[in-house]
Amino acid sequence: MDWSYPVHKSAEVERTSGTAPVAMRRALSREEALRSIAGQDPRPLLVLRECSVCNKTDDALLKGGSENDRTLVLARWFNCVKLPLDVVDPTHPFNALFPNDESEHLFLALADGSSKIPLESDGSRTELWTGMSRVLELAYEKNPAPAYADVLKRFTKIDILDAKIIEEEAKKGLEMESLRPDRKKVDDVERKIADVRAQIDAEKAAVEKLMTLAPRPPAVAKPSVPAKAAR
Amino acid sequence: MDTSTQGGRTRLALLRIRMSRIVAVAVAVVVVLVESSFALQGSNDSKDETFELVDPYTTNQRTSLERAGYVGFGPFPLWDGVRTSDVEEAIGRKLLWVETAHFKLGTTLETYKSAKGDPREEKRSKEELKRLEPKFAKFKPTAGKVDPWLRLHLYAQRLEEQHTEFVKTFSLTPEDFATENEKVPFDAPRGQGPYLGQVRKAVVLLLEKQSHFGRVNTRWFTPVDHQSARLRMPGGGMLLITCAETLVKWGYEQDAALHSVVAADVVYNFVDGLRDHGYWSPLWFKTGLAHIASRKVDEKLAIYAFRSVRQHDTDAWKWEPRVLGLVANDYVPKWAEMAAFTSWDQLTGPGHMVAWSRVTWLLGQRGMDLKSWLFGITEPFHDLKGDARARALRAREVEVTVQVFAKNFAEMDAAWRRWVQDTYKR
Repeated sequence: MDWSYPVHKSAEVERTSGTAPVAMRRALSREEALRSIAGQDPRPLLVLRECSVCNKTDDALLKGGSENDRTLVLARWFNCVKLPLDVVDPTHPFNALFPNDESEHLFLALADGSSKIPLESDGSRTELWTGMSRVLELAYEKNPAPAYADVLKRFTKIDILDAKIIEEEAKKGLEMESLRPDRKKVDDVERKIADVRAQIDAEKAAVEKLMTLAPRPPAVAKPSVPAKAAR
Repeated sequence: MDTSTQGGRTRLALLRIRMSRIVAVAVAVVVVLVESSFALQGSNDSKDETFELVDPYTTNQRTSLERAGYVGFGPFPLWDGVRTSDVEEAIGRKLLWVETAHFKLGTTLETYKSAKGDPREEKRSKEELKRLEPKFAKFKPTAGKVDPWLRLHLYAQRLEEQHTEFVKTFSLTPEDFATENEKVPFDAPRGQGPYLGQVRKAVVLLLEKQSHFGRVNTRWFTPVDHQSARLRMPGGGMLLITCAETLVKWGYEQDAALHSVVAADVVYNFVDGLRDHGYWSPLWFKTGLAHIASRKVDEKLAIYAFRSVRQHDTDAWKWEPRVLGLVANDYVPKWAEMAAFTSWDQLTGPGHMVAWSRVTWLLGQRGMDLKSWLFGITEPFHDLKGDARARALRAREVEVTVQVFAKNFAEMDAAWRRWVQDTYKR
């Protein structure tokens, strides 16, 4: 998961004693908090608060097994934001997003916070994928969710090609370090590496095309989504 | 997919590193694609460890701090406008802090349980604790367990030992640098202050979690997707921020892996920060020096030389015979070529090993004025920018190499090759 870890820069006030100014910590309004975590990124939001149970893991989103692939690919179209354990503290700048320990564990929403879908970490994958797909449909002109299988296939191919390069580079290294190197073999390996690199570039270009999406203009976005996935 | 390990690294992790980022832009939408692989599971012990408020080894007593060689456990300023409390607020948890003679160290590292039955780790740990023991009046660590305060003390010792070694290697003295509070011009040859020519002590943040790492970088610097960030601090001095969780996700769970990365990064910062010259030192030299530091922790753990790793070859860490083979077959970049390297892509697997070997050879030259050489290759050239500065430094490297070693690049290359052939064994 490619998480971002926004930190709000508090306004500084003069320290009444000592020499340096000190930052005052205060909770922002929900709108301010959303603006702060979204920044300039127009992608829809996937916002997770760390908790003492899933801390140090991505367990809130990823379960055991290969079906994480779908979550991981869909998450690439989101601005994935992780907030700290103390976000439930009333003075935390982003507290309005998760006011207390009873707050949901994560939510999906458009970049401005609308169409919010609250989710819990022990929810089903179907709930999660349905929610992600709904928000993506609202955020982009074309729902990218159905493309995930193709994207995944190409990522897997890139992984395999990368493994091939490692293998060929190892062969080349062994030859170069050997007592009697076969220069023709080294040249052949170098050609193979160049060929595999070209294939990787082609796959990356194809993935880029699949992942490149036009956002839905804000005015067209539907105002809300029934929170069926909410628990 | 083959997820076999070698030297602690899984193939998956190697692939993850190798996958470049693809950035797609369409009508103001930027979709950032990261690694195409899959998340690894974290530790079962998921709660943030609560740190003891008072250090059990010194009980925060002034005499104990002095005995340990510490200035204090904070709070203290770190860089322009930022104090220890600001970092704690950004991360959202308490850090343990210590100020030593040359460093300000902060950590969120939690208790480390040593790998059972690993004789290398046991030996290393025993030796380090033996050196640490005299610094404390009461010192009875629990066997096989390194608590957060002990980790702080160990890293403080490691950092100071590295500083001592760097100073000794290049025969640096306090007179080589400006003194505390000395008013000097911005391009003063002795730098701006007493800390290797910098006004501030080096700051090192060793962070347990990726979120800690991400929050510090996001708050004050630029988010990065590596496990370490090395930066010049606002106002001067060098900062290192390192994340343990990333290394664990790459398959390196031992503290030695973190230690070896820290050792390498600290050396990079020593060279890059020297006299506040600003990162312009030759890549091959600082990388070779960093590999020496990492391999001193554990020869199998020169993690930044990951391109030298070979799957299914448990002897790939034995660099001497590999370099000997490369030299015999003339598959090494010439000295002049390597001196011109400016990007990591140019340092292939063989390149890393060759840089390490060349710096090892260079440091072993008896009677040579290594300080002049180091100062020469890190000339600040503050009045020059960009390519002009790079060109001036390259010319300075050529010049100072002749001055100090009485050899041009071709002669250095030939002498090093002879040494490799005479010294390394298959």
